[in-house]
Amino acid sequence: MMASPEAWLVLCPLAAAALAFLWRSRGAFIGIVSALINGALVAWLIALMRTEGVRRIEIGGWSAPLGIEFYADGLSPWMLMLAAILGVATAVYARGYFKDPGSWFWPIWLMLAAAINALFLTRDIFNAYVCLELLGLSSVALIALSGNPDALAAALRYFFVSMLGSLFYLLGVSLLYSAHATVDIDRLRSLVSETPATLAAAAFMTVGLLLKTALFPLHFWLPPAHANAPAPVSALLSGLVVKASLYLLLRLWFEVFPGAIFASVAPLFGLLGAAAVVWGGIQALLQERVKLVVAYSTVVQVGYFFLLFPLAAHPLTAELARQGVIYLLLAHAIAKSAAFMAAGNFIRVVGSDRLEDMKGAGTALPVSMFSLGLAGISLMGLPPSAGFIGKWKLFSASLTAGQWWWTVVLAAGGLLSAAYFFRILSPALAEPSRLGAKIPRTMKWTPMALALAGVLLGFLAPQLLEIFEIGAPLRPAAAMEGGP
Amino acid sequence: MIAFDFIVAAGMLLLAWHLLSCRDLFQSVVLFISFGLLMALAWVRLNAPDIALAEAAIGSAMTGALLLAALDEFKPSAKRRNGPGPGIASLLFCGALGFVLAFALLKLPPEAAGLRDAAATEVSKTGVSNPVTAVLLSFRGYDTLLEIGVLLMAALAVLSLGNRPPRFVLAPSRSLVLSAMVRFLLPILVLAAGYLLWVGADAPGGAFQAGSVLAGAFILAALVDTGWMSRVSDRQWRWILAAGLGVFLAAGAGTMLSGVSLLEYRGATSKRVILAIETAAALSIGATLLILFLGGTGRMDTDGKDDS
Repeated sequence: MMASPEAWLVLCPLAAAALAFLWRSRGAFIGIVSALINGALVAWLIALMRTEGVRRIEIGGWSAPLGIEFYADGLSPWMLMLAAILGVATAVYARGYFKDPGSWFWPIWLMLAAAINALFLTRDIFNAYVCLELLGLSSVALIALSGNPDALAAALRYFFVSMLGSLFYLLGVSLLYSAHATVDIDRLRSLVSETPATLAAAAFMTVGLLLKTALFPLHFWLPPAHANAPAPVSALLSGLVVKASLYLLLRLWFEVFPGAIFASVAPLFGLLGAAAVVWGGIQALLQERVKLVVAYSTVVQVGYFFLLFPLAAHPLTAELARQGVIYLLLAHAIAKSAAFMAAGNFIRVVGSDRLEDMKGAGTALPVSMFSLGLAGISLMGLPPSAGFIGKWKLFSASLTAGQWWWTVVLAAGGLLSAAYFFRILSPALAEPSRLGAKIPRTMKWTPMALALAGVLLGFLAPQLLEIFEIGAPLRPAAAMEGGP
Repeated sequence: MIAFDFIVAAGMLLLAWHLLSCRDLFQSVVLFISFGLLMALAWVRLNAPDIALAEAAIGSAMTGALLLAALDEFKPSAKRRNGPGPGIASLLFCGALGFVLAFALLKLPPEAAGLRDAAATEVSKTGVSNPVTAVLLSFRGYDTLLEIGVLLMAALAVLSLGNRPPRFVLAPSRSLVLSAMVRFLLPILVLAAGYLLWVGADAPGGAFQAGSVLAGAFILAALVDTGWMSRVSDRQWRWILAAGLGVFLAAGAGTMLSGVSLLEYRGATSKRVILAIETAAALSIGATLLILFLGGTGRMDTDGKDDS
């Protein structure tokens, strides 16, 4: 049992959080070491899964339904990998960003890392609720970290939204438990049918998680929260935290709720996703602050992810759609973090985050400028970036499924992304600057490394998708037979 | 008994409506505390004494204290800004929600035993005989490990908002009655916390109930005399706050290193491990609730250096 990276993936960040709290002045050091250990543990898990396949491990020696089990199919290491990459990058960037090594950022961020890992490894919908609680609370504290009134207001609003979302989710969990006497995903899958309790549970849990995922029209809280947080926190929130509730939503819809309901809500999800792409894109064009532009771009990207539902409901295109969305998740996480970090550098140097003040920032910070450009390429979905692979697969899926209208959404989204990214890039390149660039080297090169990774991951698609396909997650037997 | 249940249910609805519609926030808070006590009674009637204890201690008493402390910030007299009573939109929303819930619940099988039988069969292996404690610290001990993490996170959140380490300073009360009463109550409260902790293995009780009683003792002591709190250094407070998570993590790492699954303990060892975890957790819970209370009073002295 010692050979169980799953347990250590939860224990290590929690222990690191406690240590960073006890020895606050060593926070940065503990954080970076913990991020590196985390990366090694994820690599270990992936190595084990390549030989063993899907892993399922009892906790406390009790099997489900009485106990809780760790579970990892291809989707889990995929998300863990993404969290691990962002973890290392955030730690390195934050060490430069927070001048005080004893910043509260470190213990709180480590709590968030533990919650994320635990969520991606659980097979138990109640345990997932506990993870959501830890995740929500740590996110709130991170948003409030700067302590200015805007940040506090955004944090408080996010707190209410997050609590409301969690409670709706919990309501669904308790309905499912009273109907079926289990909270284990696999057991539930074989037990659920279209009873009123299941329908109500599906509705409650979906609303709760959509609120946390910020799918249009429930995205209202996201731009202020993500834009007012310190740069490394914005990077984590947009890159990772939004995807945690999305992950749970995907697990529920693809692995718990009956196929017939799936088929009937899939078009609705697609429609909301399309609306998010268009609405978020237009809003991003209208913003006057750099971080708000980047935050609205997250609203857009969340929209893309929901195109998975209508396309996966079609038997011919499920494969392409799954891989496309999963690649977009990875591309967005990496590119969006890079974008927020680069934007953070501009703001640090310019001393303002208004677009009009960005004149010449690019010449002062050529590296950050280049990283923002590269991140933009991946977010727009231009070749050869990871974002391109994702979008291309979704594009082909829409055409194969005969649902051409999604290609219009994808193309419109790409054009809008190009437009709002140039709104940041063009003033920054406008005039030679007289700004003195004084930011640490780690802050300069971390977004660059991430943005480069975002482009290079486009070349590694076949190898990486092999990991994702272990156990073929997100492939609902029910949706395959119930497709239109 | 049906009549009694009916009175409790009707009383709760009445209190809920009243506390939402009265204009004076202080009155709302007091009504909320009474609502929590009725809620605890309801749990007793539903055969859930553990939840009843937790509801009375945390849901009613601690939350009440936190709300009163928060109210203190809105001096002199806090009034609601928007008119009395919940708005039409929220009433409609809650009505629809209630309708859907009621419909779904009525369609459920009437006797939902859940995992009660499975837990009853296995409880003998856990070293404790109270099934609730068995669920919290053995069957689903991993959930509780994360929950203890949530509690430490709550303390972290409050401390980080002040941006500095706490330096517990309250204006000590000069009331002789209060200080005499606290002197008398303190040992009893500590004893009660210890009793709840110990008895939790076999009867309703446990770390959460003990922790909240302990928090009550901490808060009373802080209201009367703060000398004792500053004798405990900030560093020591941090250790107390992290103790619960620390011991739990040690148990987790210990089980992993000895070659069994995470948090797998059985029989006689199990009882000892559970007691150790619960003792540390009760201390941390007490300290966490104290931090939440002091954070709410805005009286945490803040003299450290600024972050970021």
